[in-house]
This record gives sequence, structure tokens and C-alpha cells, in this order.
Amino acid sequence: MAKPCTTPPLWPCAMVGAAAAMAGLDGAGVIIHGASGCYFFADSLIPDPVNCTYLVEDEVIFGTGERLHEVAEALVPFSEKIVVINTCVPATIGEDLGPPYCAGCDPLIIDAPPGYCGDMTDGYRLALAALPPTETDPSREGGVNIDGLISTDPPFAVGNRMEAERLLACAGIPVAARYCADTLASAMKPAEMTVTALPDVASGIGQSVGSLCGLDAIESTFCALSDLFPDADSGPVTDICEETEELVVKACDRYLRVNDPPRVALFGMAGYIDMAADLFSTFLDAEICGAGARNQPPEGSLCTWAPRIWGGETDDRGRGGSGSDPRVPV
Amino acid sequence: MNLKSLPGRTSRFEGCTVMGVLSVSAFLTDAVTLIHGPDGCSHINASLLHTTLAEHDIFRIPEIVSTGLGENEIIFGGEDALQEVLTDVCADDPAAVVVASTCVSETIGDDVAGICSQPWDCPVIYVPSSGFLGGTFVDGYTGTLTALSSFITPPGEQNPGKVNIIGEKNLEFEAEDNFQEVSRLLGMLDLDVNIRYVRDITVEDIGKFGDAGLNLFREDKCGVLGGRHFDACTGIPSLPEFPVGLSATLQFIRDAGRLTGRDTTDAVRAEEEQQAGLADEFSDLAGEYVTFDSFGFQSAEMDMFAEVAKAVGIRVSEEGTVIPIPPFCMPVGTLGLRRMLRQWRRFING
Repeated sequence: MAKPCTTPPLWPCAMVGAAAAMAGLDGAGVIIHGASGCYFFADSLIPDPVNCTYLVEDEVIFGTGERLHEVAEALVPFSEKIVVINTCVPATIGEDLGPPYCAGCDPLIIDAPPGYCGDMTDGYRLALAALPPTETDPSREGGVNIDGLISTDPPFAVGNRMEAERLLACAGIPVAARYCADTLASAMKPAEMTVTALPDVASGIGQSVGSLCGLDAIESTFCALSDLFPDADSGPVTDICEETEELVVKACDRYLRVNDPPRVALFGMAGYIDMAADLFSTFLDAEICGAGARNQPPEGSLCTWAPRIWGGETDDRGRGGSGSDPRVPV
Repeated sequence: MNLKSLPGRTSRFEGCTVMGVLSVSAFLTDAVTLIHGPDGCSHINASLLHTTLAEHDIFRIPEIVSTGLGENEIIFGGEDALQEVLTDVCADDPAAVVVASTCVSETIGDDVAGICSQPWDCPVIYVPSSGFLGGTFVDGYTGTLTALSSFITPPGEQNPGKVNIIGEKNLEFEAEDNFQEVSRLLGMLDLDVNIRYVRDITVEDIGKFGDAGLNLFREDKCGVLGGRHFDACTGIPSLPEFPVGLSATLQFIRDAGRLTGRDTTDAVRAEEEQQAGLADEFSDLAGEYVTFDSFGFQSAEMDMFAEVAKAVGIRVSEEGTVIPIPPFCMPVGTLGLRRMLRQWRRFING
């Protein structure tokens, strides 16, 4: 049975996540194989170039392959690889979109994430899972991949990448592949270890060492990296975390000298919310009276999936629902 | 981008019918719009709608509900999901539910019309939108305006002093200003607006539709709405579009007067004076050279631009300052032209 949604869905469909993932890899000629309505929205969210077959009714009846061929043909000169992101209707009619229809090239068909297959984070993960089997690049031994970078998360995606690179540089650890803000060639040659900037959109590529979302997470991740890479020096990162913590303590103490601890409601992506909730409760002694995630929160998350809150449901701890009265909605 | 071999009557670039439906139904303040498709379709359209309205300083979130079709429904059919969600929505007793199908529900062949025609606790209006399989944005927009006309009650006594405004482009930035301008022009003939069909009205308001003595369409030059539907079902005389251009504005006043039995002499004279004031206000632009660029978007109404340029003393020449002309929304009435000329001044002096 479908999941009735009694509020406007808060999250784009899987197609958008898949297109965002692939478009973030320079060299990929991304084609959304669908209609203009689907494409316009995806294009408005994704800062990287995305193309479309702009399907019309006639092509759904007589076959969409030739149209895909036309668009792929125009993109081939500018692309290392054609990446076809399928959408609901072509996926439903079950067309084979293989090489004959992609201007003679060997395309990467991301067939898994038509809109009805899940939300944006599902599409992101499915697209990365569809990347051809990758082998660790020996020249990248000692390096670490960064994942959790999704371009539809502005302005944080760029900031997260820069901060992750800075922290790794401080520890003397080279950066390998960035998912997904890199070249296609680099993405196809990951290092063995991966740190994630945002757990909600972890790539599943490489062995996860930990998250960089939150001070405690950063310290434990770099502690783990130090064990894995003997040449790494996590001391500077620990210093940065301590300095940052002092700044947070100072600001929060200043607040608590004249205010009671706040009651807080948080809404956003689960990874960010868990980080913020930890900061609020640790440093402000805040009561988290509601935590609604746009995406399905992972096991152990503090969050409730937001549509359930709006539907009047509460989580196991009684948070959410209409009885909450947050003083500091964030 | 490769744009070749477009089938004759279809357009690849004019967006989704579902958005066209929402551009009307979301402005029915006490109704719920139910989109029968995957959650993503609802998000796409609700997000675009919300973003657009926020840019217009409208922060109301329309009631939009999704049946959230998933892979199971694609395989086994989505009618049960529609039935279930429609039951839930009707339980909240909205004034009406507008059900829009999507390309997905049409492809799998759900009988949306059949389910909507069952007896429900509140009025359920089905708009066969079908995403891109049902045409384009405009088809969703006209289809919804037409479908909602089922709420029009049999005309009582028509009041020639009242005018229905039909099919305002709710997503255009100038929607309110355009309405104010046509209200001003109608007011010169002592004509009042009856209802704005459909912009921030209730379902009950639609029942008053038949009280008006004149229908004014936002843009229906081809008569798709006026000629074929509303004229037939209400018998109310109509004007096909908001006035665009100097002479068109004067003609609009004359036509409105003719259809409502009013003398337009004074109103036309007053508007001519208003238009003469434009030449004075923009006299600094007299003698300047301009050229118009429509970016290939439409068969631009160049005659109108040339008319305005001539009235102000601006010369049109290929070597002149390039004036980008609005691709979709033309300036309405004399005050719309004043705002347009202010933009021209910025381009010329900039």
C-alpha cells in the first residue's frame, strides 16, 4: 500500500538525487530521460549542467530510444561518459536504453531511481551504487575519500567540502575522491577509506571511517584515521576542535547567564539535526521538544520523519505532535 | 541542447500539466488538491509553487496532498491508494477536493475518473492532467478552470455592473498589479469586480459567477475558454484579454462599455489624457534609438512596442539600445506601460 502523504512532500524524488550525484562528477554528460516538468525542477536545484530528452507523448507511445539517441549524440563530444537518469514513465514502460540508443557510446544507465523508487537520498545512493566496479588506485594509498557532498545542499555542500579538505590537510592526509564534487575519472578511482561530511548521503564507497558532522564526531573520526595512517597527525585537528568548543562554551554561557535553557524544535536533514541537537543539549542544556527530519532518519537518530509529526504522531519519546511549544525553532 | 524533430502539435518545453492545475487550484482557499502520483511529483510542484509565491510575498502554503505512489502501486495499480487518501482527505471536510492525475497514474491506467465520480462526503473534481502525457502547463491551467465551472450555479439575475475576472495568471509577478489596472479601467465605467475566478476565492464564491454581466479573461485570444466553454455555460458576454498597448486600452474601454450598455465617451477621454501624460513623463527619452529583443521566445507584439515608442518620441533602429521585451507577461493597461517605460529608461541610461 502506498504511503499516504497528508502534507506536501518535503523531499524531491530519487531522480533528482541521482542526477545531482552524477552531475557533480565533471566529465559525466548527464541526461534526464523524461519530460520537461521533471527536468525543470531538477535543473533549478542542481548547480551543475544537466540535460534532458524533454519527452513528449508521441515518444512514450512509439518509443523514446531515438530521442535519447539524438540528445546523447549532441553530448558525446563534450562528455567522457554519457549518464542516463531514467524517470518514471520510461521506467514504467520498460524500455531498454542501452548502447544502440546512446550514439554508439557505452552509457551509464541509472535505471534504478525513477521518482517512485524513493526520495532524493535514495536516488543519490542508487546512482553511486550504479557506478562501475571501482578499484582502489594504488597511487591514492594513504589518501581518504570525502563523501556526503550533494550539490542540492547549498550552501553547505561547498562549505562542507572545503572544511573537510582543510581538516584532512591539517592532519597531513591527502584527499582522494570527493563524492560527488570531483571528476568522473577521480570518482572511479577511490581510496580505501572514506570520511563523510553528511551521513544522510554517505556514498557506500570505500570503508567508512566516520563522520565530520559535529565536534565529537570529528575528534573520533580523526582518532580512527590516526590509527589507520601512522603518518597522520591528528593533533592540529584536536586543537581546532578544542578551540571551537571553547568558543561555543563562551557563547552558550553568555546566553545562559541571562536566560533559562531553551526548548528547541529542529527541522532539516537528519544528520544536521542530530548534530545541532547534540550541540544544544550539551552546551545549552536545551530541551529538544521536536526534531523533524525531511528524510527518513537512520536507526538511532533523534529525529522523527517530519510528515509523521505533521500528521499528529509522536515518536517513542513523545516528541513531535501538536503539544510542543518550542521557544527556539531552528 | 538538441531540440530537433518536435512532433507538430506538442511542445517539449512548456512544463507539466500538474503545475498548470496547481496554478489554479491552489488559489481556491478552502479546497485541497490531491495529486495522484509519486511523492516527487507533488514535491516538485508544491516546491515551485511555494518558491514562486514566496517571491511574490505570499507565504500561504496551499493544501496539496499526494497519494505517494511507490513501486508496488506501479506494478499492482494505484487505485486503492487513491481511494484511501481520498477517504482521508474528505474526512477533513474540505469545501472541495481537486484530483489531478499524473503521467505515472495515466501510464499504469488507473481509473481516476471512476473513483472520483463515486459518492464522496465532499465535492470531488477530477482534472485529467496526466503530467506531460496530458499536454503542457497551459492544458492543466485551462482544464482546471473548466472543471471548476461545475460549481457555477444556474445564473440568477445578471447585474450588468459586475464583471468576472477569469484565468488570472496566478504565478506571474505582476498578477496583483494587472488586476488593479483592469479594476481601474472598469471602474471608469462604474463596473465592479464580481469574482476573481480563480484567485484567492472560496468554492462558495464560484456560485456567484452567474451574477455578473461581463466576463473578462486574462488571456484567451483563441477563445479556448471563453468561446467554447464559459460563453456556452453561462451566456455572459466576454472580453478575451486584458488590454495590452495604448490603443488596445482605449478599445478595451469602448468594448466593455458596449457589452455593458455604458457610454464610454468620458472614460475614453480621461484615459487619453492619462496616456498623453506618458509622453510628458518620458519626454527625456524622445529622440533616443532602441531595438527590441524577444530572445526568440515568442512572436512578440512588436506593433505594440512600436506604438509606445512612437507615442513617446523614441525611434526604433537596429543600432539602438537593446530593450529586452518580456517573454511571457506583457504590460497591462496604461499603468503597465508606464512601468515598462521606466525599465526602458534604465536600459537607455544604464
